[in-house]
Amino acid sequence: MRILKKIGLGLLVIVVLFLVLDFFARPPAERYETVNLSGQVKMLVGPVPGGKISYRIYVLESLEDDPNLNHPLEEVVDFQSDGPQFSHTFEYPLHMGSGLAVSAWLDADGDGVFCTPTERTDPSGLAYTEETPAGDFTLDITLTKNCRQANWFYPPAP
Amino acid sequence: MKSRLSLLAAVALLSACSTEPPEQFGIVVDGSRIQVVDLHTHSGTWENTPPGFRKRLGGRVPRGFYWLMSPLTDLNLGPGNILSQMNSAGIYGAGVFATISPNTTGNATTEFVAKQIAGNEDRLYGFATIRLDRWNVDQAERLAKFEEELATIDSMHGIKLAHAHQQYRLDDERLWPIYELAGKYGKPIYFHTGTSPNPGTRYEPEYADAMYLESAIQAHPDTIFILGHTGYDTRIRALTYVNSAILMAQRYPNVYLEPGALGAERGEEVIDDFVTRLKDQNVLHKVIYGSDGVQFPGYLKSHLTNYVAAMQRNGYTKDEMRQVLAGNFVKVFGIEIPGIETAAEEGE
Repeated sequence: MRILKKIGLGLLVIVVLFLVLDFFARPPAERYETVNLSGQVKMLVGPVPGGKISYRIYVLESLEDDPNLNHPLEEVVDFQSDGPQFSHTFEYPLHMGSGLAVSAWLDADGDGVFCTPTERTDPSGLAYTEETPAGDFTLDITLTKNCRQANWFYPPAP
Repeated sequence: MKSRLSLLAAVALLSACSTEPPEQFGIVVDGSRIQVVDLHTHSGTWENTPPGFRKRLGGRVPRGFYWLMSPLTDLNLGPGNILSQMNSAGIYGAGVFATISPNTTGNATTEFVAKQIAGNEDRLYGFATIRLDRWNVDQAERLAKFEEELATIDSMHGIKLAHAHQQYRLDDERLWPIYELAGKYGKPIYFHTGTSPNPGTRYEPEYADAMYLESAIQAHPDTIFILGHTGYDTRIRALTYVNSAILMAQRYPNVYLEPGALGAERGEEVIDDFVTRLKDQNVLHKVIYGSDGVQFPGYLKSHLTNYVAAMQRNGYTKDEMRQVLAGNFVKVFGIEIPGIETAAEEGE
């Protein structure tokens, strides 16, 4: 009976130990902030041509406490608009980092693809701010180069 | 529940297994021994795995066991386990990739991989990599360091790039200086093509379709381009970009293909179609076997077994299997594998 008690106690200690180790090993709770993003897409010159516009929202700088894993442009979510005015509500992951970037490209040739090896007419751009967004937030995006992904624009060359 | 039990079983297996080298390497097909090199394995650590990927890996772990993820991941991705899985599968040699993808699967630097494979360079072949996430700012410094690594670390036989993980379009010419260095130092580049189920990986055609690499391939005839996964769209388990990759291999003498992950469980619906396309389109002299291991205990063996079975089901000859499983690797990399003649030896 005493042996059984000892075994039971030992098992209990092991279970508690595992749970404590588990608690400290797990990542901190994820925290989110609701953001109502809106803005306007512009061209460097002239009006915005017709066509669907695709957007991708990023945390500007992620995992800033870790020099190895810190990186720019952590993807949050994608959305689309049928014209140059856009608005989108999303959950900003506060636990991932700070700042905001939004990239956009216009499907100028209407093929549904962000440039092919031979069709290079879809303009693209990116806007960013080091401010971490919350609530209603406005950001306008100017399309400046064809066929470029977000990291072509950020971080900018010195 | 099933996945939790599988994980615990994997943990137990990993802890218990350490397979010694077999008396003879290779696999036996219809009485003939065929040597095998696995071009594509990964190393790394839990510490350098970003939160999104940790969440994917750790999401299956029962309460109380999460703290084991760190030591078990490090053990699983360590050289001892890679060699152990190779021994168990009869695989003589394997490429071990450095990767720097902080958005997706994490970081294993060139220096880290060089240390991991030290002492086993006869069987583990390093692939160097380069950090790209602040390229506009630090490319000169990164390229200088990378060139030094290519020039001085003898255990680095190739280069690994994963545009979809590193968030680069395949047609981004900013990376061409890397392709030039590869040609200069005679280090083939392994490019991830196709998609991936890992969080944060880009899956649009411009990151997955090898056609977007064509101008770079044309501009760098002295650089060998190995199209990893042959464009396999593993995210949706389809052969979406496979024909593009095959077309590149048909068109250009400096392009090769690798079938990593096609032999995994996720690929079982498409593997017959895949191996048939390679054979019917006459590119078997361009295919270098790889698995994308080590993933979990027994993965290298199960991938190899499935891939060989698919080749057998679809009428591959033994000579064709020899080419795919090690012959083309030896031809491209010039590394000696017991039982296989190198190009230099053949010419003597």
